[in-house]
Amino acid sequence: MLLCLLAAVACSGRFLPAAETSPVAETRHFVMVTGGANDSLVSLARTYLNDGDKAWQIAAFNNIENITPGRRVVIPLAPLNPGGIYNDGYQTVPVLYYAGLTGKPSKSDAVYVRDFERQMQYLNENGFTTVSLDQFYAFLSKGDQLPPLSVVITFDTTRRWAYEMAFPILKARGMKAALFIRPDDIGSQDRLTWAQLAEMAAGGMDIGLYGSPIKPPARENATAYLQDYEKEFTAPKRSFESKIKRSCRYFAFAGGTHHDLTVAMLKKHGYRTGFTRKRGVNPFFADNFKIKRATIFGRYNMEQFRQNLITFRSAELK
Amino acid sequence: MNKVRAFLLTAVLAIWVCGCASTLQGLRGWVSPPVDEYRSKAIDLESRGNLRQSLINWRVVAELDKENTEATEAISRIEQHLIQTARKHYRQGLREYQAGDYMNAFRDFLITLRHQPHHEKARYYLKIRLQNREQATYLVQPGDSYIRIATKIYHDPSKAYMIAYFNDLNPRKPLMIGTTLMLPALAPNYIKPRANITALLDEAKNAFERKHFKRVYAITQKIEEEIPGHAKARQLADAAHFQEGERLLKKRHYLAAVEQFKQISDAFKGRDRAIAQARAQINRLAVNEKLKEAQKHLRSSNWQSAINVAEEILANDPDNTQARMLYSNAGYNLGKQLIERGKTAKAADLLSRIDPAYEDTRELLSLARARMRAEAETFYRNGVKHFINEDLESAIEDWQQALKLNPDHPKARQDIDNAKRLLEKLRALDSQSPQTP
Repeated sequence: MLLCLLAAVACSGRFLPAAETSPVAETRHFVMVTGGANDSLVSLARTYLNDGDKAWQIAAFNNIENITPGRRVVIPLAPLNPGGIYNDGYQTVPVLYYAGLTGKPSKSDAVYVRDFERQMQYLNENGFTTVSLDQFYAFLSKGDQLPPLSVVITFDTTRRWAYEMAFPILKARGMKAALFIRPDDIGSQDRLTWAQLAEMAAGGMDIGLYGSPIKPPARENATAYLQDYEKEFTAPKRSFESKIKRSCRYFAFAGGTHHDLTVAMLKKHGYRTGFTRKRGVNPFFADNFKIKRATIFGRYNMEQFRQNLITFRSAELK
Repeated sequence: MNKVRAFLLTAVLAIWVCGCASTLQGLRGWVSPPVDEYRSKAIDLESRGNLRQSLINWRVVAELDKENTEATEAISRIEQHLIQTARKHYRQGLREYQAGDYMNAFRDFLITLRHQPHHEKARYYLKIRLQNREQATYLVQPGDSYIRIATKIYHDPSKAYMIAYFNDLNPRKPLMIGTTLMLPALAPNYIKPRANITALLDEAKNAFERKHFKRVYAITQKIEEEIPGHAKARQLADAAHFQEGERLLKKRHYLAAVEQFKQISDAFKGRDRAIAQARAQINRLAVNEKLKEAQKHLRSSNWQSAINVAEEILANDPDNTQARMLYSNAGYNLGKQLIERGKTAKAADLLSRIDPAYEDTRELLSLARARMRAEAETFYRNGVKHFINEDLESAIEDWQQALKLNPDHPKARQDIDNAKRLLEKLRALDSQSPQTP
């Protein structure tokens, strides 16, 4: 009798795997799941790709915008276009640099805060995705695929406008950005505080360092100079890491200029990228320590802003 | 009973087999993907040259329909094509790069990576070599190391780590022969050759042994410039300064010796003692010079000048007997002279400060003091005269002079007090009397 019961239960299918997110098929190249009521693209990306930011890859492959319960979804486990290379060209990532935001309309370098808000709104409404520095680094170093219209937003400042003006606008839209700071300035008058930085970091802002790579030799002697020069990197990094409680891996060259000695020093001390202010965009094969940035000036109108958002370069790659 | 059991078992097995089969079939229908959908997509993508996207769709087809030979053939075909195309374009790109045709090399390396994303060499050329075409390169030869290359290129072994890090290599791991290194471009400030410290130290030691101290200073200074605070160089320099200082001490070049000793590090054993010794010698010389000067004044009967010089010596060296003798001599003579000139108070003051055993100082001092007492008495009497004449102010003045010459005068002090009280009373009376028109 017991055997009968077991057989009946087994045959009813009640012990079969639940449909929600359980793979229907799983290989080393892809996973196929049937979407459950509680599933979303992000939850599937988090489960199977270990990164919710890769939800767009699932959407793109399956040509869907959302998960429909009961519908099968194929999740490729590796990017299909690593580095964003296609038959007709390759992806480029614009890195925008804001020298300053101001509360009043400006024709100078600083961008009027309402213009900044409009620019962020434009990015949001036109399918752009702001990516983190870790995502950008993965794109540069491992050829990870980024959403097609990816953009990086950066500021090199310790002034309070970053917290008071930029951060609320970005946070309200769930946008990512990177702030490069100089630890010595933090906490001084009219400057950001460590508490504000911690809040920004918790709110999705990447924090890096900016520094002055070209410094007149302090001494005649080359070795002593190198030792002095190296301290320019190690001391702020230590200070940064003790306060922010995370590794400091991203560096922006103050004034935007750099040289090979600086690059060697940055690599030695575990930095991943160096941001210049040379105008241009960045394909996956860009030099990690010569990242180009487009400065967005206060005098720019929306059209001039748009001209800096080049996310694809055409080339015959068949 | 056994028949019943057998029947039941058979029935259960039949239900199990039939039921499960139908359920699995149902499940297959429930999750069965439209294989055709993925197949069509795969064919379409392949026809448009999107081979990697086509491949994943074929893989889906093959997984869902394991007997689908079309899918397995397509997968094999596309995989082969991707590998061969990547290989072909990489080789082509390499040829173009070597020929300086960078535009086409760039395109071919990109095509390589599009077909084979993990093609590290194509990636290297695209990301490193083509991006840094202006950068000088170095091909690693047998026997090369980072230090050797740094010495060869920058004339400085300490730049080895820079080459390694600049090329994303670990400086602690050996270099592979045939590796192409990018050479960081360094401004002259950073490539100033670093001297061979060991050779310099040996040279400094040889110079020290031969007592060529100037040479030692020059070499150790050079080392110090290269490596500030280099301990061995500092020790050598200290030892050289010490020996040179001692040599100068022996030659009685005390000032020069002190200058040498002062250049020695504070922690050097014997430094402070040597400086103290040299300074003592300098002082001794200075005192001798002053004694000579004092004697000269003495010979010229310039007593006061002799006293001044002797006092100067005694201020620093109170036990200097020569200076004490000179002082007594000059003081005695000056005291005598002052007595003769009637300046007994000054004479007594001076004679009281010199050795009473010197010549007849004691007598002379007694004489001076006797004269002072006599003078005091004269002043006292003059004061009395003024008092009698009701000139109280002049009386006080004279009695004060008397006290100055003889502080033990029996009456002067009391008389001054009385006169002052009287004077005050008179002044009070004057102020109370009606004013005359």
